[in-house]
Amino acid sequence: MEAASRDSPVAKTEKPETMTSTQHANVNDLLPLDKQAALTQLGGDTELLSEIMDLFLDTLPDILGEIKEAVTSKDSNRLQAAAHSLKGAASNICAEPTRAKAEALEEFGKSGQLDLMEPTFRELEVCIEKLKVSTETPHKK
Amino acid sequence: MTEAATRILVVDDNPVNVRILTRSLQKAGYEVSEAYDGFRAVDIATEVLPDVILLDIMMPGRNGLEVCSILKAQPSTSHIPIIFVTAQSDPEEVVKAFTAGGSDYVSKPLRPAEILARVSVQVRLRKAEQELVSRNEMSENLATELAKTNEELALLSRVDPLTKLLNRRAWGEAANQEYDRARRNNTEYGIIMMDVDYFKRFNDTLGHQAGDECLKKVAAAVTTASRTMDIIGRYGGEEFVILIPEADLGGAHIVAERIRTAIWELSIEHPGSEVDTVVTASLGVASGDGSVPLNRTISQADDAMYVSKKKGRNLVSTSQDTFEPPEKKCIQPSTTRKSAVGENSTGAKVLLVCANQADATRFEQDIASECGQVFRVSSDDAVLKRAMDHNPNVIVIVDSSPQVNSTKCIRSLKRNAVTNNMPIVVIAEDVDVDNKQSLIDAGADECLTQECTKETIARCIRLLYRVDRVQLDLLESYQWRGEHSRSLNLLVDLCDVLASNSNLEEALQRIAVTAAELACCRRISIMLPDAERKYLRIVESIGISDEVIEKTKIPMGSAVAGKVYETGSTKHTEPDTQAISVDQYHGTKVFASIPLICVPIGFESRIVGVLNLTDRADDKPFTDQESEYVELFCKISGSAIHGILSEMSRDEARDSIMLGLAKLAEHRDTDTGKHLDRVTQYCQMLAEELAKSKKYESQIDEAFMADLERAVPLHDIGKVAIPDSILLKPGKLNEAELSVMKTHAEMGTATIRSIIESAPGVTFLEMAAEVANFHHEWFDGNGYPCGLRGQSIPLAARIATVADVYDALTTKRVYKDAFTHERSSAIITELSGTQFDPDVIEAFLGRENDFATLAHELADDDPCESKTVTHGLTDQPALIEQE
Repeated sequence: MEAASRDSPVAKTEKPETMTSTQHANVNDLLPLDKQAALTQLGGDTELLSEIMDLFLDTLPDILGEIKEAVTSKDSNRLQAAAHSLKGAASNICAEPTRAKAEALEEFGKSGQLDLMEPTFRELEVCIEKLKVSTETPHKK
Repeated sequence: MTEAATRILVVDDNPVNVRILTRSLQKAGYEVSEAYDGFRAVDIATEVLPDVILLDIMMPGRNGLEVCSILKAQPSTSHIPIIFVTAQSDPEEVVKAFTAGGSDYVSKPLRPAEILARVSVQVRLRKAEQELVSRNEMSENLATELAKTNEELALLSRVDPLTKLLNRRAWGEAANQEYDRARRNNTEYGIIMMDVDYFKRFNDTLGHQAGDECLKKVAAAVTTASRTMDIIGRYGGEEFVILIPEADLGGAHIVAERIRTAIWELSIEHPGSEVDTVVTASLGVASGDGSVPLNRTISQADDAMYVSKKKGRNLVSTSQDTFEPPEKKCIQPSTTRKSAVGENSTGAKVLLVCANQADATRFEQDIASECGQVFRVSSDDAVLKRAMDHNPNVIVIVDSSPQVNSTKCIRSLKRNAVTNNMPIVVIAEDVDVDNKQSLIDAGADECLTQECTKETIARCIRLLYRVDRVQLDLLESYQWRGEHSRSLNLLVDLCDVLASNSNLEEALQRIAVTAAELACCRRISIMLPDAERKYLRIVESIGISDEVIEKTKIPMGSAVAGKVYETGSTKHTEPDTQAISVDQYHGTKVFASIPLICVPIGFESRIVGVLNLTDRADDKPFTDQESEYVELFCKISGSAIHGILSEMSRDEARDSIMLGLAKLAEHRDTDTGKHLDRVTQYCQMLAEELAKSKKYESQIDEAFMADLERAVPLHDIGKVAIPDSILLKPGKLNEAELSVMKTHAEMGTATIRSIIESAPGVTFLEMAAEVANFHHEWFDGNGYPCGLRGQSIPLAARIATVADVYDALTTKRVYKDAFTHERSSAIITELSGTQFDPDVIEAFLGRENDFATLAHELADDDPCESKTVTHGLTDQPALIEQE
């Protein structure tokens, strides 16, 4: 199995590509942050939502730094762990585009597809920027 | 415990997740601990022992799966349920989580509602588990407690509650073990039997409570005076028995003497005692080894104890003392002296002590013309022995030569209990005043000189003979009075015991013992008619060998006992006369050479048996007074035995009435069918076979077998309540009829229960009630009426059901033909474990041939006649399937 995957680049790239491409289509249409969905998920606890939003934003620089370092140093294990953590946190606040990028990165970390890390990381940075913007707006309100 | 006190540990490296979990859980009332990595998670879990752990799988450092494995491996944390938190529901990941020991999982994004639901399930499970553990612990404690109680109960049933000594049965067991050891090791052992003197009077004068206290103290004294290895038991009432391991007669005697002294020194006041002012005991000692049965040694010790009683109590006697003349030693010879002479003085027996031949011849002639018999001794050494042997009325000492020292003779005679009352005349060569006085002081009754005339000597002897006679009469009257009160005491004791006893064996034993004591006999037998009332057989005896007991079979109306039984009047036999005729029937000389008295037991119109008494001390004939007492005693015993026998026959009558009732229930016709006989015998076979196995050997004892034999026939007694239209209906029963049929189990139990109420304590009825109630229960719980399962169905019922079904299969019924043994056996075996107890089936297979034989031998006379069988087993699939 393993040998087959190594010999066939098509096979290797196929799975993440289909995943990302299909999700790309959706992700781009999606809000960077679906607050309503997040609130429903938390049982309508707005206080908790704003609390975890703050927590998320507070921890974000550390996680992003960790991912960036892992990508730069091409440390796939480190990438997998950091991306996994981000994925979980993002899912909690229904930041679907961020979650999807984090998941893709986690997959690349798992499968060691180093060449795809950098572009995906850049896409992630974009998602997060959008996310930050969307969070700031209501906050300023 | 409320849920507020339930603690949850939340483990996640991401603060967002931790926050969500913590907040939701806290809102639901849980206490929450948090850990942000795997290492802390293990530490906190070990420290706070949470009720549930929510554990993230993917964490840097030590991941969730590792944490889980560590916690599951620690005994303190292994039971804590772990809910994994996964970011994705990757099936592989989920499997890993469960494999590591996780109880559940939730996936991200975290939804508080779902998490709370899952946590709550785990909390409930955890609580239930804890409850179960504590219940198990509790039931384990209960089981331990129960075992302890059982042990105590066992101990109680081994220990006499009053004295804390072994009871008779437990003593017997322990003594038998010791006996076996003695036999193996070829060593001797001693037996001490002990009886507190005049104990009944103690109770009568001071009350039973004081009596109990006294027995306690006596028991304690016995224990202290014995060695730790000695086995002490309360043999009954105030009787104790001690086995002294590895001791000969001398050794056991020392222990007995120590016990006697210890009891005496307790100084418990005893106003009713004739021996002393305090409580005393009489003891008997015997020793034995492996060559003699334990029972014989016990009875030798018992005999020795009676010797102590007769010798005057507060004494220890050994089995060697048994054959010495008993207490009446000093009186008996006097009686003989009296009977040896007639009314006139010439009948006097005289012992002449004379060393000089010429003098002897002269005095012998002088005396002989005046007196009856003359015995002579020629030296003072032999005087005492001859005096004891011949019981003279007067002793004449001729002090004329150095071989005879009259003073020495007198002293030795006066010092002996048997001879000290015998009148003494001294004839000396010269008798001066001083000389005479010193002889009189020594104990002589008269002094004569050698020169005295024949008439003087004769007159003197006549006078002294009269003195002796008066003395003897006086003694005899004392003796008679003593005997009288002793005998009355014995009779009163006996009445007391017999009135409260309903066990034939015990009553007979007591009668024999009392008779032995009353008549001072060493050989006693009680004979009762056998079942056919053709012969008298020995049912209880003392001093008679088993062989003789076995052989003795006296035809009614023949021999001494047979005639006594028929005529109802006492017979004395003298040696070598009628005794010879006894010999012809016995083939033994038991009673041939010594006096025997044979007394009817009971009143003239209602003789229940005879009592034979013989082998008296000194072969003395029975006096009228003694006969009268023995006869009175036999009348009392007779009514007691009659009472017990009629109670027994009442029991038998009740049993047979119930059996008749059972047959009636089975057949609605008392004189047909052998179904019950067969089933009963099948049950006996199964029980015998089961008893061979370790599992059942203790449960199935003789009593169980006896109860089973009587209980099984009643198993279908409830059918009396089933209408004929159902019971005897040819062909299959419909649902409604079947349910009526099924009520017979409970009906039967109710019937038997009502009998038990009027006759409580009849053990077989208890078993009968069980068998009636549960013989349609199935081993797997699918039977009726209670749906009991496995071992909770009483053993007797598990046995009976196999026997009953086997019989139903192998015989013709209104609804089926008879099957062959092979076919029936195959059907029954097939149902092992479902309908039947596999152990019973195994027993059945072990006796299969016997079953087949019995089925054949006891087959119904006309197997085509189906009226002898009824419904009752139509619910058995074994039968229905084959229809």
